[in-house]
Amino acid sequence: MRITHHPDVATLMGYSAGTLGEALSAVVACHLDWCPRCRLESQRMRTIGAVLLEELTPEPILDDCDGMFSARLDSVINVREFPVRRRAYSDDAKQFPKPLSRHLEFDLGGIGWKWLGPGTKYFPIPLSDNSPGDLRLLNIAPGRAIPEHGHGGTELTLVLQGSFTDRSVRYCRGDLADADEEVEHRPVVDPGGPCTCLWASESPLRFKTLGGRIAQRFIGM
Amino acid sequence: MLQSFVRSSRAVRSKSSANAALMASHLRRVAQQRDKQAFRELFETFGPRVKALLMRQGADVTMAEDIAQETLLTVWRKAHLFAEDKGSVSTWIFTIARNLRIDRLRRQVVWQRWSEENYEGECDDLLPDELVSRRQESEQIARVLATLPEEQVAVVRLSYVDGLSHLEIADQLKLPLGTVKSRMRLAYQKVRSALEGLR
Repeated sequence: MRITHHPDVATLMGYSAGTLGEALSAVVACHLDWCPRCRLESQRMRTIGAVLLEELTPEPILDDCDGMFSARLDSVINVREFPVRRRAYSDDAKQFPKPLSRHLEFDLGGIGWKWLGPGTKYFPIPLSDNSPGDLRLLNIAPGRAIPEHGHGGTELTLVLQGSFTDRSVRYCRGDLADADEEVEHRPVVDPGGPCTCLWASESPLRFKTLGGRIAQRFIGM
Repeated sequence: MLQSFVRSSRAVRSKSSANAALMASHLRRVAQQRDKQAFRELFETFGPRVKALLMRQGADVTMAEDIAQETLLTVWRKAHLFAEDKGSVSTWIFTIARNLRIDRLRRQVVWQRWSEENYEGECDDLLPDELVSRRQESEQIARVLATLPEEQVAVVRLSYVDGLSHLEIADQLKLPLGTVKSRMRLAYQKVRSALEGLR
């Protein structure tokens, strides 16, 4: 896989510091699964956190190593004795980044797609109760566009299958499109096959077309 | 407020690199011999700092202590999974603490965990001098942070230490979000170019 589009440095910093919202973090995690370059960057960014951690003034631990905690050490079962049972993935699931395969627990073929518009389907992925964002799989037919919209925050799109073009830039499998609140765009799926994406927004979209606005009202996207 | 960030960053020079090799050897002893004395060294170095970090991020004393202990307990359990070529011991512990904190907040699957824990053995072919340079990374990063303009170091600290999102940082500093992001990028660019120099 040749990946040419990566998350913005600021996005990856937020991810590494642990301050990026759940929906956006999910997409970044899936990109990292496929992108060694971003894994290296993220490791360096976490080292920034480690350096700052070491510089903090320590807060004494009340229950120290001598007390109950030491007893707990003995009761801990070494995880090596219990190798993680690998789930058997179908070939279909292996096409997906591991965080997504683990989360979905079913195959692409078994997804209960919902209708979003002509040639456009989506599948919502649940987030924790207090997560404000929106995470979904999108499946869009060749030549179709996601309705034009502007952003109320960062929006991340990771290509899982197929490709799309946005403002004359082509995004293929593994590529991540990182659009901040300034951007208005209209990605169009390339000819040849449908495009499946993992898509996240930290806030609801504001569609610009009448059709888009109506769809938004009914679908909550 | 900005001055205090900078002062604390410059006054407390990290002794991390001198310690990095020592901490790695403690961890190796924990992994190979279940050495409790070595674990105590790790516990006493990192436990109180993880607790301090969580308190800075808004956890109360009980939760901070709880997560700090859980972090170190994870270190004990997973010591054999630590791969030196993936970064320093402190980076690993920072990551464990960060994930446990996210776990508590979201009470659900941590997506991020999969991107960082499942690549053991991937970089096995690192040359010995690359391993050394990984160890020097912390020291180099500490040096870069100490020389960053205060406006850049402030956003980095608010993100990593205070656990604020970019938007929350923008609110707190009364800056446009774009300015916060560009300061983040500038800070990291300096870190990256310093690290590239190590290779």
